[in-house]
Amino acid sequence: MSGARTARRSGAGLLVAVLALLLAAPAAARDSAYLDALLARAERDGLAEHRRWIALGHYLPNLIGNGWRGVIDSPGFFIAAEGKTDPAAELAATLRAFFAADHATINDQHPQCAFPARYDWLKAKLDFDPARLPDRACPRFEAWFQAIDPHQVTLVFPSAYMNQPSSMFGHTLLRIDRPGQAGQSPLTAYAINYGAATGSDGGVVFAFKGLAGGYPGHFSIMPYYEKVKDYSDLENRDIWEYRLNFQPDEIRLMLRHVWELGQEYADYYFFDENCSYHLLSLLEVARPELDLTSEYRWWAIPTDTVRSVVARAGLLQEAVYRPSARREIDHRLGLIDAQGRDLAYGLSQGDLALDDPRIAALPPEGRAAVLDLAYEYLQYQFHAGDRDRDEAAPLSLALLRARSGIDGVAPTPPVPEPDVRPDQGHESARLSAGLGRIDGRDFVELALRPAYHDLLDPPGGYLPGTQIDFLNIVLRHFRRSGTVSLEEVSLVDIRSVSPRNKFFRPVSWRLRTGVERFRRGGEADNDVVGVAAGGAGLAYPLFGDKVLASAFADLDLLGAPDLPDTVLVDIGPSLGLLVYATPRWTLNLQGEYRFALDGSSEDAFLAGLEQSLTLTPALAFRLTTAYRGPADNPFTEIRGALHWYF
Amino acid sequence: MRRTLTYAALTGAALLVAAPFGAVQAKDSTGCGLGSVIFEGESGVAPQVLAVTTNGTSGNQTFGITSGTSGCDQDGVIKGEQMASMFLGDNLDKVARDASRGEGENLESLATLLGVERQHHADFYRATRQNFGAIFASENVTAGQVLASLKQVMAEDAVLRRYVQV
Repeated sequence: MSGARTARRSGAGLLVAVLALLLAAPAAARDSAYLDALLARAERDGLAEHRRWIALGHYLPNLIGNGWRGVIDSPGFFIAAEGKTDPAAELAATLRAFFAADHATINDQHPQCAFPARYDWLKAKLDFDPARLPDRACPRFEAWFQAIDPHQVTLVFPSAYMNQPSSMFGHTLLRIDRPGQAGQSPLTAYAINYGAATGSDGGVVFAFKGLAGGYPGHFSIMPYYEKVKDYSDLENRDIWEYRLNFQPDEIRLMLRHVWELGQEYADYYFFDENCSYHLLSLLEVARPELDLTSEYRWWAIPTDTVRSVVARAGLLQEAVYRPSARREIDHRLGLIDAQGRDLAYGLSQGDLALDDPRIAALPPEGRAAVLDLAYEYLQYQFHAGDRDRDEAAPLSLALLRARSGIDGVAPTPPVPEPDVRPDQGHESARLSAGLGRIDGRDFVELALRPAYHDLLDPPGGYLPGTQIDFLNIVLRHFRRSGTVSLEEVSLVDIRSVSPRNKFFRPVSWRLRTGVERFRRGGEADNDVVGVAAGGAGLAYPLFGDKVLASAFADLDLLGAPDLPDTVLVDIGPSLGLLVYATPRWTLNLQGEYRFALDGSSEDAFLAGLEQSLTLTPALAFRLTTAYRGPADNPFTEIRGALHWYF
Repeated sequence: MRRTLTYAALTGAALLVAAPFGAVQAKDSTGCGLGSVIFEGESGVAPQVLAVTTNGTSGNQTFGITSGTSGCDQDGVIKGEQMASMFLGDNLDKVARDASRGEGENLESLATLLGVERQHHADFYRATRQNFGAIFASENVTAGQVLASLKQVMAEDAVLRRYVQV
């Protein structure tokens, strides 16, 4: 592929050279005089330092000293050899290239066609004389541009999918809306996505390369319905569409620039130079004054980037909620009575015939509701890989055919929009300070959690029953001893408490790894031990979805030199009651017992209640009380802390 | 400093539960879509603890904006007149669902792509629901056959026949 391209390029270069010899010298001289004039004017006007030029080149200022570095890593994006680090050289080389004889010198296109945004902007800034620098025809670019018909832009945020807390970070993409799109379905508009080409790598290789920038990231474009299918239907993630207020000419320039990115790539870093970072850089091309990327230079969590965009005054026009297929089913389950649910379930499993008298006896509205639910659930199972096509396809069609025979039924009311949008949820970093007493000793506690959300953090805008914490660090200062000690560093602490019902039967799970203070007596008491713990369980909803009752079977591995066998393995049950009492008040009641498997260590237990009260969008109070420890020597622990989200 | 700390934590975390943002998903090009069958098998992402491979891509994915021509799509966009058949082929099951109810976003999009004006959308919805059995004759019907049957239904409809060239 690259070999072929090189060959084509050198072929084209040869052609240019031959033609240059054939062309009359005076013409070249005239071009060169005008080029010099334009270069002088560009330098006089300081265009190479203009925010728009910096945005078009995806340049970032160097951390140390002066100068710039381009984020795009493929050499083809820069015309000048030193273009990646020298915006002025790149601008000069761009102007020079615009004078090229009518040949496909870049990616089989004339430079004016390969860089239509640079051309458009420089032409306006330098007022190109069409007699001396004529516009080139760009049929391929024009066909593309007309098909997209850019007018407005929507920032699209697919939120987390259920039972998979690691998806909480989300993803972002852009949708390009046509004129007159408002009030019409956007399914056939185009979406611009930035993603990594990861090939078939998996596991550790995948994670390592992703963090180290080992994959090339590309922009791509596809009809929006493809992305809706991916997120709504296959992954069951709710989508939020943020229609933004840009001027149509800003969006047109942005799309011209998207074309410039062509086949170019930037090394993809999961946590900083990721999809969200690069989409912000596109919005900066549309309006450089927004200055969106600078605060995400090191760290771009998609929800945070959505929050910054939405927070810009006047930028958000409207937020539209697009519930996932799963959410749609949950909504329908709430609208139908128990008999209807059973009939729909029976139909979807093929256990109940369509001509069953109980279905025929229903009024048209009830029959439609049962058939719709049965169909949606069957499709859900089919997409999840739980049903064979041979069985599901004829059954699906029979359900639809029966449904088409029902006339005059009002559409099902839409899924109500959540009260709190993801961008309105709490910020993802958390700093907390508190006081407590453990086993009779008073302490002051300071904790920092860079990301992201735990079960008791303010729930608005997040998925209930879901937790993913990274690098939670807890320090304690004990009054009596006067020492500061490390209480806990959790590398990652994930919980998924997913409610089960007749239709959905997820397995809840948890996973935690890090170091913590050992408080179970013996030689190792008060040592810092390494922990890896996991468990699986079942959760059921009570009182609607206000309460989640769960039972887990857990396995813990603890390691420290002073433990009898260096490693302590214990197993045991955990019971939990997670109560969303009010939108501001959440409680978590827990009971745990751990059987130490090595025989020489004590069993341990915990009975605890944790409560969180949201005070303001950025502040919450957390009160934890527990009775725990080794079975023969338990102690009490109580602590209160103020949590600040930033 | 913050970066170093965060990276250290996240490297470890990602090894356990890699959850990359925005990696690309495999997507087969279905040409102009007319070959598609209703209820084509397309599987979702099963919840996995070690969900490291779910965002991988297959080797035949085309990347980039200027990806050249493949079937009906050129540089990632579909030629205007082919969008209707492409959309139908790619969304056949959802169009069928909407047609059975006589309402829905996918049916609305199809009506617009076929040039049906807004004031006649209700007629289009009614006609597709009432003729559901004729349009979606079997679960193995292709998008091409559905489009042909749909045009037949429209041609026989007093209101909709203006949108079909005979």
